Amino acid sequence: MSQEIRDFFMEEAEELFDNLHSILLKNEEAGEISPEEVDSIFRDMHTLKGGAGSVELLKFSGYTHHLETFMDMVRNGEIELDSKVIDFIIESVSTMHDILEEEYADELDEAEYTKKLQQIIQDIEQIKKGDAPSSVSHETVEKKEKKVREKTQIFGDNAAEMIDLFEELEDEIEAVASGEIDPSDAISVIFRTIHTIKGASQFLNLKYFPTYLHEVESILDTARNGDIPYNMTFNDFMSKVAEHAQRLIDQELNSSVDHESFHEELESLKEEIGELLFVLEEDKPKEETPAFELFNETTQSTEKLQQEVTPQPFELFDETQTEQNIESSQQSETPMAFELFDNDNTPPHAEQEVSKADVATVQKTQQEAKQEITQPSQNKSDKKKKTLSLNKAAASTSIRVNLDKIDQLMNRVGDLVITKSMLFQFTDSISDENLYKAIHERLIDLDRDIRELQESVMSVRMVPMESVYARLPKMVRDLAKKLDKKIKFEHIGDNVEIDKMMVEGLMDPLTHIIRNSLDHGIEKPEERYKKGKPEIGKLIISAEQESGNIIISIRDDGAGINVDKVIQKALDNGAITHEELSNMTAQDKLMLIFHPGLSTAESLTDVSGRGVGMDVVMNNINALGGHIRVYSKKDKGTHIQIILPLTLAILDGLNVLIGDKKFILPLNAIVESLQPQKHMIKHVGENRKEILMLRREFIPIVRLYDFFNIEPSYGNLEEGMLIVIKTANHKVALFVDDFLNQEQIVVKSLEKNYKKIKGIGAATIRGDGSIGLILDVTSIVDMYKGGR
Amino acid sequence: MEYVVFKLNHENYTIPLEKIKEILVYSQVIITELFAEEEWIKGLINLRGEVIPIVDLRVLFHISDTAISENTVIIVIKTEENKLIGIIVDNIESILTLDKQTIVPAPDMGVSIDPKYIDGLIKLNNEQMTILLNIDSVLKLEEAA
Repeated sequence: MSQEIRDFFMEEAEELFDNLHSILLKNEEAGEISPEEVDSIFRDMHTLKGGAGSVELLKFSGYTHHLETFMDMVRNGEIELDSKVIDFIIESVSTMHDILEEEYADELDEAEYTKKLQQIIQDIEQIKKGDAPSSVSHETVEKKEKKVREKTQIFGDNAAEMIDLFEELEDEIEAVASGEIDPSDAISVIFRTIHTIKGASQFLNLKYFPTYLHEVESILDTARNGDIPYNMTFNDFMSKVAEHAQRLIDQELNSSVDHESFHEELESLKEEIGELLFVLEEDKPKEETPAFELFNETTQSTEKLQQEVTPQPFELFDETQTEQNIESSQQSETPMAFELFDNDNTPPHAEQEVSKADVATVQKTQQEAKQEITQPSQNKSDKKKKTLSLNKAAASTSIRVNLDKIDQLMNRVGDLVITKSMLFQFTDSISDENLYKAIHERLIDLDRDIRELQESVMSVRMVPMESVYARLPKMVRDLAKKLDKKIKFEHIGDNVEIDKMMVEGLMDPLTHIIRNSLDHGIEKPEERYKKGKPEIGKLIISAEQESGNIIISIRDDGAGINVDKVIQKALDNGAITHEELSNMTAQDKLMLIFHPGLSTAESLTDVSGRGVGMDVVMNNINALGGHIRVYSKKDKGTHIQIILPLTLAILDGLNVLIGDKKFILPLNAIVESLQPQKHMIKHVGENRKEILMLRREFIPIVRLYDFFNIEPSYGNLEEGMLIVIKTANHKVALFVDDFLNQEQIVVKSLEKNYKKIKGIGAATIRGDGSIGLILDVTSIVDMYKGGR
Repeated sequence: MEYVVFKLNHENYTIPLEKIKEILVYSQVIITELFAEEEWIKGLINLRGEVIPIVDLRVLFHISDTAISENTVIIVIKTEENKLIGIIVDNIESILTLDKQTIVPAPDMGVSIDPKYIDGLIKLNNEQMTILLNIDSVLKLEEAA
């Protein structure tokens, strides 16, 4: 077994576990899990089991098998979900995770494992006894399992399957219409096709479409059971429905369906079903009246009519009925019946990735969507287009790529950027005017191509914050339990995109901050009660994009940071001197919590408090080119802000001249630049601080040459240039001698081999192979505010 | 173990060969000056895409003569923290193999540089002495000042 494949599986497994945790924790409070989520849990477990088996993690696979079986029973309604059962699932998933890690690391204790295995079998038996009569024997489940396993071929491509299914459906309906097949024979085939489409649609992350189909499926099921006849009228109806359904799925893939319009669609479907039922009821008595007594007919058929015109109350039963029907048809060896389980065989990451593909399709087909909205009546002529968008969804499936490979790609792009600027520099030395022009023009093309290439590579690396958040709820829950605290955890900004590279570097700091918040910040319930706060503490993490930065906030409503205690400790430890203390701002003092070796925990816990951690936070964030700010109020809570650059790799910079030295200013920080006139400069305060008055705004001026101790070319503000920059909260005007060209630069960390340099955020490599220095706008502004 | 002997203002210093990643000729690199940094940080260089700080040992060791000659080299050191840091030295003297036993502890007195930078003294063949530098402690840049 190659290690690589195993690692691959582990990666996938982590994602699946994240998904499991997030579903389970979301539902823990509510004490119930929706059928779709139960399905999703079952699928995840199934994939885990299957995957583990194929990479020979057999112990894990064995354990997971039992849980999967259990989930299947939950899915079939044999076991009722209550909070106890959910707790059992959560615990078992944790154990699953442990077993996986142990087995992967080759540290699995055989006896321990056997115990766990027996435990779960016992637990499941107990739950089974305590609940619902187990109508389906264990054997059937096993058999089903086996068949699923036999079916090893996996479709990754649900969209393509969807197209096929719709074609199949149309063929079937057409065959009935043309009299090729007897309607009564066709019903079960059509029913199964609809059912399969419904199943497959769930992998396209559709919300409305399955609900629509469910409605259709219900009425078909009634027909299949012989309660209403499947005849030509019904067949015509189905032909209409198939068309509608296709339109709906395309609209939804183009995200041109909202709640309201779907509701209308659904209502009209229900109306049509009602009409259909009415017509069918009209037909039926005529055929069947002789067989019925008058008395019977009135009671039964009106009852039936009532039930059928309002299909809603049936929904619950339809689900189980369908399952049982499938099962029975399975036993009779009808191959079609496996389709439902084929879907289960598809690994859930395919589901996620197809949904990503959908997003792409949505963007690509936005125009088409608009067209479709404007001409919704022209169904027939749009048909080609519709299939096209499904085809697109089908075509843009994705692959998994190792992050290292993307990094290598990014590095190569970085090298290209450097070589390009070297070439640009070289062209300046060409004296032949024509040659220069010819080369220069081509270089500009190259420049554009490289830029586009870089953007594409970048976009590959961007992932939604969701992937950062995924692990947090479980962690918070576990910690809260351990610490005996009640915490409500919220995350905001799931869709904000962040460089995947940063996700890795961000996990540790966030974990540490959250741990600290839970351990030292949020108080125990009784203490909170005494303080007149709600017993349940709040922990909110949010992410947003702001002018080239990603700002991640972690807020709690706990006790806040005890600044005096932190200072005392810092003094005791010799981390700071009294003299240093006297020069510190309130923010500086709060920042002491990141000083190595400081911890204010009164007791050491195994959660945090050994004084390691918060300095790691600082280091990691700095390494990502970010900054941290802390705000805290006693008994109100703590707010930690992490400000990160959008990307680590490449940015657009403006070369500025200070004396005869060149510096690079990140373009995204710049608001505007101007040559100031005398009347725009004001002097305020004792120190006669210089202020730029710009359209009623007062912006402090920072003379950069002062900051870096460089001999300037101009001392007079009117002779040089002012560049107005903006950081998270402030605007400052930087005084430079001049600004030069704009260029794309590859950001290189200073901390890797050196350390943080004040005022300099990072370095880059210039065209001549020397190092260029990138100004760190935020730290310049902070230092300016600190009194420089 | 193998050691490299280099000269700083006529004085011999020694560091273990294994610490050395690379040796660059001073005149062939472009050093970007840093401002508002300690004086002994000469600047940054680009070593095949890596940004590497350059420490002028002569300034750190309070040697006033910091002239650059054609023999001046930058020795790129890999520190125990896995950082790459360049040091400027006047010239490379020799490479020698010797036993750990030949290292004697340095006297407390009579050495111009901070004792925490010194691992001991080594007697060379020509009766000269050389200082065995603890290069890792020298290059703990955060602490040095």
